[in-house]
Amino acid sequence: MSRDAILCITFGFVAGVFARSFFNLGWPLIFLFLLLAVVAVGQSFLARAPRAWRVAALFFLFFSLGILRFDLKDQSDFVRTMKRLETTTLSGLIVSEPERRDQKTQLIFRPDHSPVKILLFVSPYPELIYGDRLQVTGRLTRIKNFQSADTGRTVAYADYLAASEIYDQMFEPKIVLLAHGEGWWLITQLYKLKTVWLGRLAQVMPEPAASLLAGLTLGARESLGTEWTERFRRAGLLHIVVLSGYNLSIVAATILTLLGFLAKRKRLVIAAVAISLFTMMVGAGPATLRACLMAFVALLAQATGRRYRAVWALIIAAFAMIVVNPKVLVFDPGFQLSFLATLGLIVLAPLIGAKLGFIKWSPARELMAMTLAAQLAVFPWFLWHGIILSPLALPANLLVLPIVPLTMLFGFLTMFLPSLAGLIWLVVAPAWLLSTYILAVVKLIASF
Amino acid sequence: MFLKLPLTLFLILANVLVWTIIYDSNQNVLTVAFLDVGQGDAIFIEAPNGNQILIDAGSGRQVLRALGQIMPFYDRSIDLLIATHPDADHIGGFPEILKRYEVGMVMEPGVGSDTATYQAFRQAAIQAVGTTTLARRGMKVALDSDLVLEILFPDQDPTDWETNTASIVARLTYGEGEFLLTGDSPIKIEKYLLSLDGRRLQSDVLKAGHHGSKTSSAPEFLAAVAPKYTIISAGKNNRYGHPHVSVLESLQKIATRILRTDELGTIIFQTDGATLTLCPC
Repeated sequence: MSRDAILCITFGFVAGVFARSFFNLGWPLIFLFLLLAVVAVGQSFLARAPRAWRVAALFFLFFSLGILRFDLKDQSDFVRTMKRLETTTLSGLIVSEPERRDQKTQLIFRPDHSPVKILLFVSPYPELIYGDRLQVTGRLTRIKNFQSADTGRTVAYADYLAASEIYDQMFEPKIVLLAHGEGWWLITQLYKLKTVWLGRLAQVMPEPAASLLAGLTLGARESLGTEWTERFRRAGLLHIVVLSGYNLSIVAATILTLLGFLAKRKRLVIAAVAISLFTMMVGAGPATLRACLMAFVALLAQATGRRYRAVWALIIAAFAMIVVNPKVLVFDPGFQLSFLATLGLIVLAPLIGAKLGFIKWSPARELMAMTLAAQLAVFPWFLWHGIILSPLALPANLLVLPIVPLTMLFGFLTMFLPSLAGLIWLVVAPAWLLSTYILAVVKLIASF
Repeated sequence: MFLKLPLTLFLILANVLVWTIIYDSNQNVLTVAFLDVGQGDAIFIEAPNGNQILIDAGSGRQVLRALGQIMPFYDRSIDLLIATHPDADHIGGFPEILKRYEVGMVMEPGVGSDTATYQAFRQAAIQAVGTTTLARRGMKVALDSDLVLEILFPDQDPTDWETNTASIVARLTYGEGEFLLTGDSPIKIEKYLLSLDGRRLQSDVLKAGHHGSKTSSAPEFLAAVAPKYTIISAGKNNRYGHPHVSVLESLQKIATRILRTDELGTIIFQTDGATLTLCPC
């Protein structure tokens, strides 16, 4: 298949998803586009048909497939029929890792046989985990978009949650715990392991350093608290706490290096497995999933001896994510920002680096170029959403990003090493120092 | 070398660390900190010899950050936890603390509660220290030479009582400095304590009962305590309207300086047994 054909398919599909994200014109429209595709195909079979017909055929075909894909994922008909504003009892499973905030724990709950999930806000105790079977009694309320107090703009909170099939919430339902461990076996084991590691970290590390390290290493949704979260946001550094693609690519690179002693085939296969397990363990958010898929492409390129082109890896990763869940394209800021930032790093960073010749020390130049490129690439997104990024985000990132790999290393060592006779402090002290430095920078920058 | 910059930073930080540890380990003073945990109570006491007590732990995880601020990072133990009573805004942080810190002993008044938070607290306490100790009037926790935490209430078994009424009331004495810590004790208990031994209530610092609610802080009780400073441990814009205007008025009448955690954040006192200072000192 030619390059143009692939581009045609990709853009046709994405355009279909994009259009369907805003308008639902129903079946007649899809038939119209399919008809156009058929006509175009027919035309392209004629002798001496112009190239444009083949292009159009592919485009319209995949445009309608994009619409269809979105339709299959759309649950709004079901959602319209849900019972609200009266007390209902539902039984089902906890399908995500609980997000333990200061006062409340957030759970994602899927009632049995339901295509949609529900966001539950419950008290911290009893402590519930992934795979618990619950019976909840309470009132469903529809999640709504709201106005931001700062910018006055609408925050598309409901659209964002709808992208992961969540339309309703329930506050403080009455809960009966029916059974444990009914989630997917592999995920249950991975989360168990994660809990053990994070428990070790928490036993030797004070807060908020422990939460920061938990986020940096395993993307744990431990609570940093609203005050610190806000500071990280203001300093433009929230992306490191929620485990960005950057963190995952560091982990992926480390895994590959550690497996260096193995034969190539073996190394690549084991690396792919390890990276997928790690991605599952950290919860496979949009940024980590994107980084994981790009890592797969890189491994595949190595295995087949092809040249790895980052732009193509990014396009493949994004396309795969849109095929699996078409709603991320328009409704998931995490997906959009991760895509833009990565695109910036790939396309803009070399260009900017070339202009920064006056910085003689090359690591500093690269870092500067990458930070500027990522910031520049996400800038239009924030502008579109009425959010003005602080210019201080640039120095904040420059001051923090270089030590992130080292901080992650000591964070992981803190979790993995047994606490033998005080020796653990040889890794705890550096981990604490590094995270304290990050927190100090964030606090300083956020105070302006 | 790409590692040069991180390494330099790292060494600078290591230097800072060493000096922090050296700076931390002197001073012959008692520290009493009323931690900012939003709506709730949490009081951290550190004796000159390093013995530590945490009285209540707020409603959730904020207490962990407050402790992280006041304790050095290598200190992973607390000698005594006191749960004044089983309400969530007093014990909510304990299960996490019991998981993360090495605890010597846990004290509670002995009033029951069937909330999930209390069950989690009990379970964590029993797992960590085997059993809880019931606080009773007359008990004295000797923290250091001349430094005693004395239990003033309950003086009987409060098993089936309303939880606030069962609150542990304790008085910390170091030389000439006294702190009266009252949990959520209501007015009837304040009056009862007055009737038992009013003179022994006088203190430099009073933590106003029940976050400044009008159900506590009777004028005659305040007059007997006659505190220089009164702490109100409440959350910003809390939904209970704590502290109550009438309590603030009674406090103004006894000319005490009111310090509120919702306005000031964590409030720290230090004393060497003779002079009491309000930090930053």
